Amino acid sequence: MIRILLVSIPLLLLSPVIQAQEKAPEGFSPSSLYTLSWSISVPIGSFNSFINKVSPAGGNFTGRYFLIKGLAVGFEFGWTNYYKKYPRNTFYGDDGLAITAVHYTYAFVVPWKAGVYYYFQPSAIADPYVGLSLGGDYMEEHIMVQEYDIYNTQWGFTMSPEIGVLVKFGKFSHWGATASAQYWFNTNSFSFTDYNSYSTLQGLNFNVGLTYMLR
Amino acid sequence: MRKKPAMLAVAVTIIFMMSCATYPGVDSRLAEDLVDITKYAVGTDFTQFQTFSIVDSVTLIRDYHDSSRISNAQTQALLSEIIINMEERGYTLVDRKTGSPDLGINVGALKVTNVSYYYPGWYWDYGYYDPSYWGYPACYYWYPYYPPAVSYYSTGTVIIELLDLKNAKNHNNKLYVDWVAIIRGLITGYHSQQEVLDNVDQCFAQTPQIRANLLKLGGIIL
Repeated sequence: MIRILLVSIPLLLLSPVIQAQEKAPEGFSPSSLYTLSWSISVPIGSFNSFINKVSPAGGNFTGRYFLIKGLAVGFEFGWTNYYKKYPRNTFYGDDGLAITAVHYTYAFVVPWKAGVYYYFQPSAIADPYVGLSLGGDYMEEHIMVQEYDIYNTQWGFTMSPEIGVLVKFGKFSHWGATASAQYWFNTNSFSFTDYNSYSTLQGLNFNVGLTYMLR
Repeated sequence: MRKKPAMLAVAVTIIFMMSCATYPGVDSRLAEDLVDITKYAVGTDFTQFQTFSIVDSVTLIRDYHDSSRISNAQTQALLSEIIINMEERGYTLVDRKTGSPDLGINVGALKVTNVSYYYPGWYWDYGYYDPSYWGYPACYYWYPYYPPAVSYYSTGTVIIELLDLKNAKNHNNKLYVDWVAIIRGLITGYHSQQEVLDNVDQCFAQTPQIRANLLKLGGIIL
C-alpha cells in the first residue's frame, strides 16, 4: 500500500507537467503563409435575384504575415464567375428594339482586399482563425441574348468577415490545407433597361485550398 | 516523396480548371432556335395608318441573287397570321393596286448558306420585292432608324417588314421600313405550324405600338 502511495503521489504531482507537455506546441509557428483556393460562391440578397445559381467557378490567392503570436495581416486576390441560362423571355430596349429568346446572365467579381486575421493555435496541427478584410471589388454584369451583350463594369468597396481553419499536413510540414467561409458584400450597383436595379451585392464563399507556410 | 510535387501540381491544375468555367460564347448562343427580334421607328405614329396590303407570296432569298417566290400551305399560313394580327390592331386589308394601302408588308424567308455580318437590308438586293411592286419604282427601301444589329442570319429566318406607303412621296423617294421583324430559324422544317404562328404572334405582341386606333381603357387613352 505504501509502495502504491509512493508511486502515485509523485505521479499526481507531476501530472500538470505531463499535461503541459501534452499541450506543448505540436509543430512550428509559421511566419507567413500563402494559399491558393478553389471557391464556391452562393449569391444572396439582391445579387441572388440577378443570378440565383451557386457558382463553382471561383478561386482566390491569399498571403498572410504574422506580426505577433496568432495575429496576422494579409492580402487577398480572387475571382468568381457567376452564370445562369434562363428560358425564353422578352427584352425591350429604349430604341424600339425587342428580343424574345433564351438569355444568359453572367457576373464576374474580382476582389482585391487587405485584412487582419487571428489564428488561435499557430503551432498546432489544426489552427482555426477569424478575419476581416476590406478592399475593392471589380465587377462585370452581363445580360446576353443572342449576339447582344448588354453589360456594365464598375468598382466598389467590399468587406468580408471570414472564419476558417488551417490544417498542416504534418508537424513540421510546410504544406497544409485551408478551409474557410466568407460573407461578403460590396457597394456596387447596376441596372439594365427594363430590369430592376441591383445594389449592395452580397454572397457567401466557401473556400478550400492548398497552403504553403514559411517558418 | 517524388509523388508530392506531382500531386500538388495535379490538385492546383484541377482547382484552376474548375474555377475558370464561364458562359457560352456568341457562336453557341446564336445556335439557339426561334429568336424573335423586332424594331420599330420610335416616334412613328402608327395610328396615322388605317389600311394595309401584304405580298401574296413569300420571297425565298437565296445566295447570289437567285431568289424566288413560294406559295404553299406553310407560307400562306404565315401570311394569314400576319393579316390576322394587323386586323386585330384595327387595320383594314385592301387591294395592293386599287386600295391605296397606307402600309405595305413584305415577307421574306432565307434559304442561304449561313451568313454573318451583312450590312443592314442586304437582302433588298437579293431579288427581294422591288419597290415598283408597291407602285413606287423610283423609290428605294430605307430604315428611318438604326436597324437591329443582327450579325447572323441562318437558313429558315423569316423577315417581315412594315412599309410606310402613305408618306412615300414626302420621304425623298424612300420607302420607310417602319417596323422589321426577324424570326431566326422559323422556316426550317423542324418546327410545327403552331410554332410558326406563335412566333409571328409574339413579334406583334412585343410591339404594342402598332395599332390603328388608340386604346381606351377606363376612359384613359393609352
